[in-house]
Amino acid sequence: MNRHLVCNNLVKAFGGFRAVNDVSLAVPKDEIRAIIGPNGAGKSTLFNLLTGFFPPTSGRILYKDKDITNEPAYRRVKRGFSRSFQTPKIFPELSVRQNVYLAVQAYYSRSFEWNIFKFRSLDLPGKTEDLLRMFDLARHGGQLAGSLSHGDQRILEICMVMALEPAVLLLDEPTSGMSEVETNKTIDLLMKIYEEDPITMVIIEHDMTFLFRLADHISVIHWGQVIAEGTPETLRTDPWLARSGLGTAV
Amino acid sequence: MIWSKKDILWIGAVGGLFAVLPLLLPKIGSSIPVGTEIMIWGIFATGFNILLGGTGILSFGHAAFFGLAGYATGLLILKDRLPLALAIPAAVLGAFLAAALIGALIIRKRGIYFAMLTIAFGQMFYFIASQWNSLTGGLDGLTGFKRTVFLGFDIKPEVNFFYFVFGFFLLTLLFVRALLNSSIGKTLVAIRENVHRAEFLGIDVKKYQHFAFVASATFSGLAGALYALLLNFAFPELLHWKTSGDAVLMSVIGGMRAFFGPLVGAGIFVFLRDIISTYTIHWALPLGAIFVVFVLFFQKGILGIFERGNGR
Repeated sequence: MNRHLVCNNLVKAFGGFRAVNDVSLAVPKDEIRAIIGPNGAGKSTLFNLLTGFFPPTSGRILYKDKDITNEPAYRRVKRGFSRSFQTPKIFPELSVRQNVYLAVQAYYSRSFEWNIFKFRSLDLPGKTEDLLRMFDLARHGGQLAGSLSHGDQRILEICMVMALEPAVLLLDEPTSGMSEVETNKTIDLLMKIYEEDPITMVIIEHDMTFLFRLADHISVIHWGQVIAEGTPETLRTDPWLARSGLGTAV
Repeated sequence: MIWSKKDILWIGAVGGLFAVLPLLLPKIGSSIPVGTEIMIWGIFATGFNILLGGTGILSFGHAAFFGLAGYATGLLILKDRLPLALAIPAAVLGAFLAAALIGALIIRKRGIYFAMLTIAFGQMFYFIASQWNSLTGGLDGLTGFKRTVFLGFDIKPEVNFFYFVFGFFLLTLLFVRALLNSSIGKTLVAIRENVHRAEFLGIDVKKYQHFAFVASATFSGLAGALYALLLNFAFPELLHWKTSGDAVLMSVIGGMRAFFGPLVGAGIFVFLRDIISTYTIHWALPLGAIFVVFVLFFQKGILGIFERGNGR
């Protein structure tokens, strides 16, 4: 399926400023798509439109050929969308374990919402522990999430996002502020996730290693528009990108 | 289990303490109705805290549901001659429906805007009650109704009414504790801690906030119905936003992150008011000073002082 996640002529204007200015993208199923571009290019705004954080000024978003342009965020999550934020959005005053538990519970509430008793038959704590182990967070389980290192907070957020068993994973600069070791750890983790069960990923990222190891396809965004698209290899040699100075980022 | 062993022990201990209050209170120069009032405000504040401490939403409008049920109880007894066993549930149902409707209108607003709207709606109720003389008795309040028997149980004597309220009080503690322990309660905590993350976990945030609003208002209604019966009187101040403010004050003094915090706050509030008001009519002044001290120095309230930050 080539038209898995599609957006057509998306525009988001804040007053007179068009943060996203006529963006069209088509991400095939199970592709890992990287979105790159300088700061303020409109990458995060595009993410917010795709995930329903706010509605676009104009344009359409389709998922599996269904129009989801004006669907609220939580409904898109129920369709399988799951995202992280540039600054991790976790529950800082709860323990790491509670953070993951709430994500696990939220996932299972999709089918059992308001049925308090049904929850008792599910082993939510067990599933929580499995996830904590998988993301190497078990030893921090009792710690307050807000007291984790920045890198571990990002890992925790990815862990919570993965608890939703997403079909479309959207990560906003997952490795920014991470050490090289943490970055490699995160890449390994994402590769493992993808190899076990391929899903569609859209990732905003600057890190070179990250892009070349993971991305199938890259979209370059500048001034709210897609100015180039291609595989990491073709973009590296694109003369236009080299001229604009963006080539060094690729 | 819906309750942990610890929950049962604590609620049992609190229940045991209140069970013997009618014997203790007269010995320390107080009276049985003071104990009854503490339990009624305890119901109000514990329910109110589903919204404030549980979900992180501040309302100054819950007096509307408190007063509405108070007036409804009085009117149903006075005009419709309904037995108490019907008047109380009908009054609580009224508060529930009013909260469902108002909540649906205002829950989309966030933070300060929401709080302002709750004041506006609450004050609307206040002005209706104080102006509609023929129905509510206007500023003089609604009199002429008396609590009598509830399903054959004579609740006229103070001590009998105390144990009547005690039953509702225990049920409230058990119910609210179970609610907060449930997956719904945990979802409310997620919304309180990070509303965006909650939304992106797939939680229909507005629906849960609306639920918390209505659930807490239902307990306000129950408390209001009992309060009108305690006094055999309903008056416009029951609906005033300052009455909602009292519930906020109780929660803050006692500690809104602790289950028994609002109850402790209610106990201190009612007890101190009872003592101080025998010396001066300006009882609100020292209570206000206590409030300021807690906001400045003990933000987690009295029970917060004992809490250990193990983050579990």
